[in-house]
Amino acid sequence: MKGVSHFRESDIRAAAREFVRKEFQKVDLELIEKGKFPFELLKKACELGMVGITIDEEYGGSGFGILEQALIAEEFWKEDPDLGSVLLSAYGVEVVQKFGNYEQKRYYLPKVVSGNLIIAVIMPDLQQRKGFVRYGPLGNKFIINANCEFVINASHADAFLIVAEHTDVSSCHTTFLLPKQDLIKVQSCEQKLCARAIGIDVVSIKELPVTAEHLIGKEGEGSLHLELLINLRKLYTTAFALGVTSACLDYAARYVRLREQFNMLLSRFSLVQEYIGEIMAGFQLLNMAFYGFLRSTNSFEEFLTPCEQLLLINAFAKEMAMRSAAIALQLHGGYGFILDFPIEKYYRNAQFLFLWDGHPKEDKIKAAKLKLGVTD
Amino acid sequence: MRLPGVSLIEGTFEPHHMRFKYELNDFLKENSVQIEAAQKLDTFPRSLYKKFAEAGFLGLNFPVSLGGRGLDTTCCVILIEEVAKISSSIAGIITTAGITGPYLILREGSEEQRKKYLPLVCKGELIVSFAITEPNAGSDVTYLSTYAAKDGDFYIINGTKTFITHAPIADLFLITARTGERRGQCTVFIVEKNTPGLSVSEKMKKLGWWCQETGEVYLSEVKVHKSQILGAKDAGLRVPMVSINLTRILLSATALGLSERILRNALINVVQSSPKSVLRKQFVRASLSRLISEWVAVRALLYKIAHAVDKGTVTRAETSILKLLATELAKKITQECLWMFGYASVDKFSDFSICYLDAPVFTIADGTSEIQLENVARELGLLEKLGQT
Repeated sequence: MKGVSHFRESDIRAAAREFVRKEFQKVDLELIEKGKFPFELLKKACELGMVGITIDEEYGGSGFGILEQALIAEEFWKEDPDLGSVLLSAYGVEVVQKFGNYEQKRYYLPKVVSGNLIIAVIMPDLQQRKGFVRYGPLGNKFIINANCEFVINASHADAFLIVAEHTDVSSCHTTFLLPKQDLIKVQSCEQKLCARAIGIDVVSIKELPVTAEHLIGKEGEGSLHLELLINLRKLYTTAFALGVTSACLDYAARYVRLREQFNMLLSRFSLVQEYIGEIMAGFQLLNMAFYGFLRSTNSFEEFLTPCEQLLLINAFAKEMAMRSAAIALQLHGGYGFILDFPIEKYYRNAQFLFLWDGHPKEDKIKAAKLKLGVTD
Repeated sequence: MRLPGVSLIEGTFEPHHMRFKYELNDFLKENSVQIEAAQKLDTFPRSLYKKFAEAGFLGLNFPVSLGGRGLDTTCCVILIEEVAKISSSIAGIITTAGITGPYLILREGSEEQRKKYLPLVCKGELIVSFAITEPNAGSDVTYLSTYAAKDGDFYIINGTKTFITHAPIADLFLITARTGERRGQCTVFIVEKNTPGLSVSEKMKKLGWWCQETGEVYLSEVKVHKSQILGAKDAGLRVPMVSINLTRILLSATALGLSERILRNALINVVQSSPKSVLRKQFVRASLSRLISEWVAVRALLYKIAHAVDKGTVTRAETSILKLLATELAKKITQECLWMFGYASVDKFSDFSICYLDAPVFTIADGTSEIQLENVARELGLLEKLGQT
């Protein structure tokens, strides 16, 4: 895939599907459940150019757009959300590509897209649940303090992208990119409910001095980066949700066509048909809305401010993923509750979308505020 | 924190209900750590189960003469709901092994069968496993293929049972098998675990309810004497269904106990642990208020129905309505509230994650939600014209 820019959507999707079907089954899921990171899988995905797909060819990437990234993310989660989350190893790297200086890009980007370096993003929790990420000037340096939850892959990271808020100036954010430091303490959760292949960690930073060379862009430009990171998160979670919905539709449809009760295939019960129809409706609408939106959105520029359309699609996607997983599990009856059947992993992981990216109601409220012109 | 609706229900309690609740709460306070720990393992908690027995919490509604306490359904509901506030899987174990499984022997067994087995159940020394579901007979239990062929004074049973609660560790199985060609012509047999030809699978790996061991039961030329028939021969589904109302009520109590645990923790979490900005969000307050409102209403129905059971005035459709509402609500509450606990929910073994993983079984076990809807439709007469009554 690498270096070829004329791939059609269907080719990208097919390549991603082939990759996950072939490679995911080689991973030892018991080790993943115990918190082992699948470095080998990440490397293989990188070799095929599936990680950091939007990075320019100059830096070893594929130079594709957000649409292609979404297609791959959907296929990865459709096959297995626990393992598919490995794609998030390149989450946020777009900030470095778009706003980093030449040295930063030259040093970090090729390593990320080849799977030789993982950058973890530390940013304020915008759901305002807990924690903080702050910085303040000290002479010609900056001092960072943070206590931050839901940091993806902090435990495996070689570098950190930190978006911090000024201690004294509210809403003034600045971004730093720096290699792993002893003062960045990471706490991991080993046996996770969801996204088991990656680290979902807690990071605490106490009095970490950084210099201007670690800045991404200029001081005070972090709000733009933050907005891009939030929108990227929404792109990933929407694609993941689409993957869950699509998988649940396939598995549920397959099961009800084979399972007989009361002398009749489950597929012949109208209540079952209604359930399947509900997932189908969600999938169709989501598919059209999301990819239609992405086809009309060509650059990252549009993701530097809150995007009403993306917020609404994302809210619907997360709701639909949860609903589809619950329906598919219910249709499987007792079989849905045992781990030999794949449905349980979609049910577990549907919550990752809420936990990492926030409740859909938050997104709807944010979109409504944009529409109504209301600020906090 | 006192939740709404508590006085509404306790106001209808008789003195012995309150006395029982106090006694139970003392026991649970003493053992809550062990209960919380046990639910995280994938093995049947024998020592804990024995403690429940020693404290007199098994066979609660069995006569005193058989080792029980002779208490009513409301006490059973109090027991299961309170245990489920700590762990729904332990509540499930107490329900199935300590009440509803052996309840079949109480209701349908001969005097000899009752005396032989039920005192041991109450002492926690005998685990009964009720085995009806088969690979091809889940919601439709008239479609059984396990067959018991008559052979003089004996029956030879062949077949496979699946999703059988306690199968890997049970001492006694209540096997429903066909005893004739007619559909639904079946009989329940009491089969002891060491009977030649009976074997069980390894425990199944499940999404939730980890400590409640579930497995398959294989019956190959299992020979049982006719005296091991429970109830009448060819009694059909009447015998295995004798405990279905009680089972559904107690599963509803489990679902509502789990719901209370999540709601209570969510309230504590948003009030105490989260920054004020979370509470300032009206939609968070509204979500919790709405879920608690629904929980209060369904819980009132639970106790109303428990009371009606003892009066003998409850219908199957009414327990179906309860089971439908209580179990769907529990699922909704866990799905809606998990994010409120933030990072704590990432841990598979956190209280909240365990509740989220346990809840889906509620709308499947003991008749799916879809079966409950059909039961209601049946009582409304909507199936009559289809010739299904």
